[in-house]
Amino acid sequence: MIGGLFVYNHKGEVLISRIYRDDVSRNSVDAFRVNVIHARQQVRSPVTNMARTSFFHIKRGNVWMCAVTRHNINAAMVFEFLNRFADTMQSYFGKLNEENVKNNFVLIYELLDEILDFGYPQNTDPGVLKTFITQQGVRTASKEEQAQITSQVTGQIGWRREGIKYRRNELFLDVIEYVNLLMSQQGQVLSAHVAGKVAMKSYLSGMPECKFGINDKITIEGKGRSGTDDPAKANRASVAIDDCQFHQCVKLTKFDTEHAISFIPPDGEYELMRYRTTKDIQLPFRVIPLVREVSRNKMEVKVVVKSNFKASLLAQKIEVRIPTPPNTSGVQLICMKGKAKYKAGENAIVWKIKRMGGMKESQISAEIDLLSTGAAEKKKWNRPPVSMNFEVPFAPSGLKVRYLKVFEAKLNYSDHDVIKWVRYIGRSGLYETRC
Amino acid sequence: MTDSKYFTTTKKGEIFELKTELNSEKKEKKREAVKKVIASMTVGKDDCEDPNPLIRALAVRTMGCIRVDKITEYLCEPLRKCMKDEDPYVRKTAAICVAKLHDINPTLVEDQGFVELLNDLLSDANPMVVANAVAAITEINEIRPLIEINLQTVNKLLTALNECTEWGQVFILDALSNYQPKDEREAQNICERISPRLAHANAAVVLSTVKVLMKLIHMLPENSDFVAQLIKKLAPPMVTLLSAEPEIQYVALRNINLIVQKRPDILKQEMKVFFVKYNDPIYVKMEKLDIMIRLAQQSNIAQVLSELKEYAAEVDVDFVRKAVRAIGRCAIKIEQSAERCVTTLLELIQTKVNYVVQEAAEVDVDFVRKAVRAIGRCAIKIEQSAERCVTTLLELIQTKVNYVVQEAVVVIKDIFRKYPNKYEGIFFYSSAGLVNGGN
Repeated sequence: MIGGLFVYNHKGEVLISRIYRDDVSRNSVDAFRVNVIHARQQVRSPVTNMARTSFFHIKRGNVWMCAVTRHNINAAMVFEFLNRFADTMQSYFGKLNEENVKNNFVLIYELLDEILDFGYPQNTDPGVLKTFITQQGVRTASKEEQAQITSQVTGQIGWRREGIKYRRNELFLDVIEYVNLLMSQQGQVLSAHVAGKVAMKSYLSGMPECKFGINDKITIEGKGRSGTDDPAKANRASVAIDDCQFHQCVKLTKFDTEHAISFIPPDGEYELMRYRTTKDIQLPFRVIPLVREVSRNKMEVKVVVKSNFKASLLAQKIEVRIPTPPNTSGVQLICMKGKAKYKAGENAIVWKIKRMGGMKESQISAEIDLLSTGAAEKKKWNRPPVSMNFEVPFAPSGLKVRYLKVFEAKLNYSDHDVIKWVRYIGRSGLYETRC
Repeated sequence: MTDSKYFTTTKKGEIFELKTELNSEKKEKKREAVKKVIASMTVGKDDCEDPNPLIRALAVRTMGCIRVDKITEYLCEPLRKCMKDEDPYVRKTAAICVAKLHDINPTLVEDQGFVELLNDLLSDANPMVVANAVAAITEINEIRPLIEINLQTVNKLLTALNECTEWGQVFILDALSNYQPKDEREAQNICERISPRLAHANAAVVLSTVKVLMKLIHMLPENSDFVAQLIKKLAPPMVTLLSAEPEIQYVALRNINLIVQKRPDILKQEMKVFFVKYNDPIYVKMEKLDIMIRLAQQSNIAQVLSELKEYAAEVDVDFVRKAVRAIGRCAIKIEQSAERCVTTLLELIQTKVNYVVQEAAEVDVDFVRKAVRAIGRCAIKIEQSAERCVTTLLELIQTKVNYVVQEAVVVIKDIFRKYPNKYEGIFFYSSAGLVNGGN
């Protein structure tokens, strides 16, 4: 149970202050400011303990959000709540910054009243909250609406209201994956994993039940060999998911027993599931860096980028970041494709390529001139890794959507009447090669 | 409802004023304040009977904020009614209000029978009411165990678990962690019913589930199939938490540290996940390093050492020191790898010291001291490496850099004490070197 919640701007001035418990005093507001926001060192921990009081904070944009308690509270719950609260505020008024907080403080205090009762988090779903807490003040509702609101806030299906109608029933599925790689200097994969999510936009009428199927190894193996006896083929066609987590609308017990993803979707945009795979990842790019220290004042860097996917597909928004030492005086760059620039402020060479097809290779060479500083002052430069950003139109994990069926018994539309769109977006997460 | 919004905010401001007035010394002020309170109480009481459930709930919630002793007695009747209200929103707010009341006046809660009413709410049809009732009960029980959680309660909670919001699930799971099952079968049943929660998107739900499972695994037979399967299920969700926001990563890592100490088999295959990323915040890096050392074993020590070597080249001073100490710890922990660890340490110290001597550049003095001491410890604990360590230490003395020589001499003295007969000659040599060097 959270004792108090405070929001500060980057200077440490209090924007919002709400105390739920007697044991948290106004001194805590100042204590946090002095000891964390204005501390000389950088932040060493998101949890600070002072005088038997615990301060949990997150920083979003230039706003500090801090939850205070004197009890032995569930730490993960506090951070999840702070994140969720920040998301809810963003859903109401956009970016979380000092100006928006000040302009909407009445709304924020109302939200805090509703979603944190006596320090216990209640329903934080923005869709539901918007039905009765709005920026124009808490709106009046008719008797039927009242009953609907309360049953939604407390109900089993707290994420969707009854009576939604659309002329066109449509579903948009985005499979968005972030592929993360840490490669050693010698080209060995130290660690690689794909963190993916399935984001849905559903515009469906009524209270439809949906069933979602993917080419997940366990489901395929569970149904027995599907015709082919070639294990290699079966392997390529399926993806081994290490772990997955679902939106609260998915019936978890059904997933546990039958491995079926069955749910009544919220209306509009939401994230259906998150998953992680570590095996059989198709790494879209291979980066080969070569660094040579020619002399005390000169360094030569050559980076080769190879694309490793079907030639017919195109990768976009490719950016390669080559870090440079802080005492760089000048850089000469040669690259055949794209544009490269040395950014002194970021201590990096940034090479941007708009588009690159599959099974291609590009290269950049750089000559870096270093300032020879006096003998007294020279810290050895620990070479940060070369990192890459990109976007590819396929899922590097190999995940494919097999089906998405919609059943609405009461209304007169069937699964065939629903227009469905699927797209795959593979993005770089932390894609680093040590050099 | 704009009216009631105004109503709420003024009440809050007024309450503070009323409180000071009621507690003031002047009789006149006190009388006025009491009159004011009674007036607003009447309005408040009426609001508890308003046809709009949102207003009824708002009234209950606000009344719970009045923390003036004399008034709280008047709260009991309306609160009692609201706990049996037809609307679940009102009931769930009333449940929390009992906890508020208990905070102000615990005896009142016990005397007026709210404990039983709260217990009844555990059987409520609405899962959010159940969840809030559990939260209130858990808090009340912390001060004085008034309500016992028995098997029937547990079953009700497990049923509500499936249908609650994520926060309700956290309250229920945390309450379950305080329950001690009677026997193995009960423990196994609870495990089965809560393990689907490991797939929830909310990290708090996942961690609370892990906590309960870890406690229950204790009660189950060590080598059973069930336990083996359960352990396999536990690792992936915890690893997924490490891709969340850094604060959640931190909480997860602190928990994983404890779990790894208790049951290292859960995460022993997942060393790579704990490799430090360049952009991790410092608090995440320090925790990951700790866990890496705990998970280090003969099969993965080569990987670990090459990572630790990279970390020793980082910028943050605390982190570098921890990495160096980690190499020493690994050497002592995994004896077969001691040679390799010592080699890594010696390479590191050589590079750093060379840098000092040749480049006359700035190097973290403390790092060098720690590295030298680590070499000393290795030499003392691992006999086969002692000779190489001594050779390096002698080289270090030759560098004639003050603090390096200081540390090296102290360490050599300790080594000599441990192996008095082996290195006599070397000891004389080094003292001669000292004398000659004029240090």
